[in-house]
Amino acid sequence: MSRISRSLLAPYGLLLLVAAAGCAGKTPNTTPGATAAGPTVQPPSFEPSTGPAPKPESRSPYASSRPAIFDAAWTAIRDKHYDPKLGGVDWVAVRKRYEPMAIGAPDEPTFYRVMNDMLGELKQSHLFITGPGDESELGPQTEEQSGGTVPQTAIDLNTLGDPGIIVRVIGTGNGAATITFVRPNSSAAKAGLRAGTVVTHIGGRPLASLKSRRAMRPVEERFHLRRLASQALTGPVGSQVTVKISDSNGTSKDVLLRRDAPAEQPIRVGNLGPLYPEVSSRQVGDIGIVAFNYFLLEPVLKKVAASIDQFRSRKVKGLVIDLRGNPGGVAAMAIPLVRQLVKERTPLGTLQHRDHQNVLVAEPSLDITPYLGPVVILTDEGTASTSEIFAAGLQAAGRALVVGQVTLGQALPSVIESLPGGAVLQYVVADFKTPKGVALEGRGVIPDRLVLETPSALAAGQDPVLEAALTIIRSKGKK
Amino acid sequence: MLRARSAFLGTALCLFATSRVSYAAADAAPEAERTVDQILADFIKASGGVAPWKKHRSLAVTMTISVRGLGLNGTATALWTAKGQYLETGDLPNMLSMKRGSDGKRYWSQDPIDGLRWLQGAEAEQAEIVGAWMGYLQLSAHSSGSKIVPAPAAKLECIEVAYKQSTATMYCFDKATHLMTLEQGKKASPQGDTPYITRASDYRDTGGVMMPFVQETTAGPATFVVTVQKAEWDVPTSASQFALPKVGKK
Repeated sequence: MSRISRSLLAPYGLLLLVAAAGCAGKTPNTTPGATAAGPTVQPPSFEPSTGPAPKPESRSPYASSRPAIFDAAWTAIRDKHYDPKLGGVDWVAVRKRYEPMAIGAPDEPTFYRVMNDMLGELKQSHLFITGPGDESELGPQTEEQSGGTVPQTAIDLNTLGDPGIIVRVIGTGNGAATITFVRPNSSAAKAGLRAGTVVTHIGGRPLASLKSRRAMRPVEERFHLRRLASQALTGPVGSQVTVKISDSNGTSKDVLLRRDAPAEQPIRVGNLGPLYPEVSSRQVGDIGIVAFNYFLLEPVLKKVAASIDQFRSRKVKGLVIDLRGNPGGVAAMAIPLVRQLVKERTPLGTLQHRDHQNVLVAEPSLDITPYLGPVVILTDEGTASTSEIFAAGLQAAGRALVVGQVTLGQALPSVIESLPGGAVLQYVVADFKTPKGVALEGRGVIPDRLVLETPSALAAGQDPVLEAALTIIRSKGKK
Repeated sequence: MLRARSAFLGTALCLFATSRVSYAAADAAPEAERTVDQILADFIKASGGVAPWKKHRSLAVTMTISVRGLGLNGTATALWTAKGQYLETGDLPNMLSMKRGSDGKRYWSQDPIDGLRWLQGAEAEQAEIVGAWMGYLQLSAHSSGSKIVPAPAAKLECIEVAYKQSTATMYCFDKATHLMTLEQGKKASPQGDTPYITRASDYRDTGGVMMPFVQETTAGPATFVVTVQKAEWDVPTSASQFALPKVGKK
């Protein structure tokens, strides 16, 4: 009777699992969940009602949807979270505490903030809710010279662009928000911006002020800022954004950048997206390097697999897989990518669902000849979720060395589900442990060789993480 | 749906033949004492019996797939022949395309996660149950026993069928219509067994065969809804359609 849908379960069931940090729903996740380290939720900014749930404020056009959204989100967590006991959290008591605050919130941003605070009680990543009327902590930056912003709901998410830079916190101590990548031929490149440049403001907002309301681990705080910076840089194609940079002498200046159209059309995978997948590959001497920004089967896997295959046919001495800044994506893509690199059955870890367990395992395929030379995986604090599952799996199998920084430590498979009223909820549906039984959540992948990026190194045109990887591979070749 | 139904029909036929229970006996038995054979005999009768299948050489079904609440939609097809050949395809845009089939002898599968491979063990057995024309030849080999089990609802009567390699599956039938409306089991894969529950509805007469046009399969947090768009008998086929895709190792 049910054979067709049943036979689809094997490939599709795993595909539904999103292991992506900061990719929840149609708007970016700006408040990743607190972690097992035990951060606390700060008190709400308004007084909760002590009586029955107040009626939603009538001035919000979305307020009438709040009760249904709240109930659907609360129920989904209760019924579908992988841990029926929710880590000991009294979910009924949580509802009693948060429902009056949420329903009675003065506006939708506050409503969703309270909802996310409620999800934060679980102290896990991959828990997030957003919806119509919500705004990010920055809001999409759409300032023109005349200033002003455009409500998020009025923006076509398919026409967003950015000026072509990535800003991350790197360096020693608390680090500094630094341009770590400039896309060739982008507006930023044409304006003369270079990797290693310290950024203090984006869109007039000081980056130092972009602290999360939630307590986070330092690595999560830095990841949070990175995403907020990305969000601030993103806006309608053709609009402009001001970036204030600071040179090594402490001299500041504003640079006005135009947001470029993305090189490729954005894609959506269910409620995930829009995403702008990018794959790049190059060869340095006799070593192949492939980098990609999301784990997606189409079109990313095909391009990455083609690159690896090309390197294999060229008989390169080693392969570098650059996962820096890769927040994950479709969890199952880790399997076929591993298959490109192994000749025998290779387990990547265990998924503990609510009612069953799966082992993520890569089996040889009849139509693939794997690359079997040395492999080094590059990581940073933005390497998350599926990227962590992939890196940890190959590391545990002894198939790859990991070089760079400790990864984010947000590696819980989740789904992104539509709720009433146009809201979307990302929630955790499985726990993940490496083949050695190690939970990556709140811990991350520990590199075999820790290498720190610094603004000065980047400014000098160096990439110390990549250079360490190349050195490792070359030394292997000499043995 | 028909494909599923055909497979289960095979199960029913197998068990029925083994125990030599007649339709008449099934009709006469009081409800409280009904046996597996009686339940299956009623199911076979209600779903049209074997006769419609013997008139045809192939069956093609096209379907839509949606994953409730997750914003995923796609299409699927299934094709069976009286020679035991089988091919199913599935496509979710921006996600994946998959194929599974048999040349009538061995079953293969191709998808981005588990690659291109010959199916073995429990996976092969489950594929055979699904892919066989009426299914009974394979099921007579795979079924290792059956029993009545408690039904989850008063309007249902349920049996559990054990298999040689894959885990047992529960099938439930509507007491009034005798059509199968619920299936509960575990889908085998290289990643392990995944529990599922499928509910079938919207049965329609398709060339004398009763086919559920809607099937909802729930596994973990996700519910797949498969809806039949078209069922066509005696479509032209060629052997190459069912062969293992060219290996062409890169």
